[in-house]
Amino acid sequence: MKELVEIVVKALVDNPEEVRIQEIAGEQAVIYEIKVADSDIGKVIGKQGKTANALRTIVKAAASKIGKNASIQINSKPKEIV
Amino acid sequence: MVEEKVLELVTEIFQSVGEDVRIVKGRKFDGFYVDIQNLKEPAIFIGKNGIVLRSMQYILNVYAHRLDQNFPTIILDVNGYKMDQFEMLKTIAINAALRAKRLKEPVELKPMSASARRIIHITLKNYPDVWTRSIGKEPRRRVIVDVKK
Repeated sequence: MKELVEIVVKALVDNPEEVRIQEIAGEQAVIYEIKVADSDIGKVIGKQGKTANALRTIVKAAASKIGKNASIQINSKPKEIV
Repeated sequence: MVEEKVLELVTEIFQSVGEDVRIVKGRKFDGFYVDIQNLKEPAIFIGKNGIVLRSMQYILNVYAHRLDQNFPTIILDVNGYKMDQFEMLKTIAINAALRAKRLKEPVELKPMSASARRIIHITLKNYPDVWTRSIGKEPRRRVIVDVKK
């Protein structure tokens, strides 16, 4: 599954060597944190988020094969604690 | 070559989810046609109303056109499903052309998706004595087949 995310994201960016995928797995849910070079963020998201939505749809479908709910996050910064 | 790179990516994607697929490719309808066969779970890959298939097709097109802006549009299919639809649309197109010629008046087809309308236009592009255009707004946009004056 992580491999799938990695293959697709690497196909979309100019700097595939900077792609990092982190898998955070829970019992029913799994989150993929995608990190790409700053200059590639736009490529992964796409116009009006079209590419990101397509990626999300594919990952969710693959996860449903193993009965899990998947989500993706792109270059998310750690939440600040107020 | 871009074509090979696209097929490589398709193969890798399916391998990563444990599917050993057979890929049939070809040039169809002004595009690069890729049919995925031998899927264990085609329903998951197609998705509700074809949304997963469409998403995958979109990603492949982004990939291919980043490598080569002039690469033809990729049409991704499963078990030849779209091809069957294409054949049906071709028949509809030719019947409409024959009807328009016989009645000597424009024939209006039922509303169709952009890709379906495209097949009608392409099919009749070089068909003698008729021409096509689309009218109306989405989602009720439809093709008119008219006789040439």
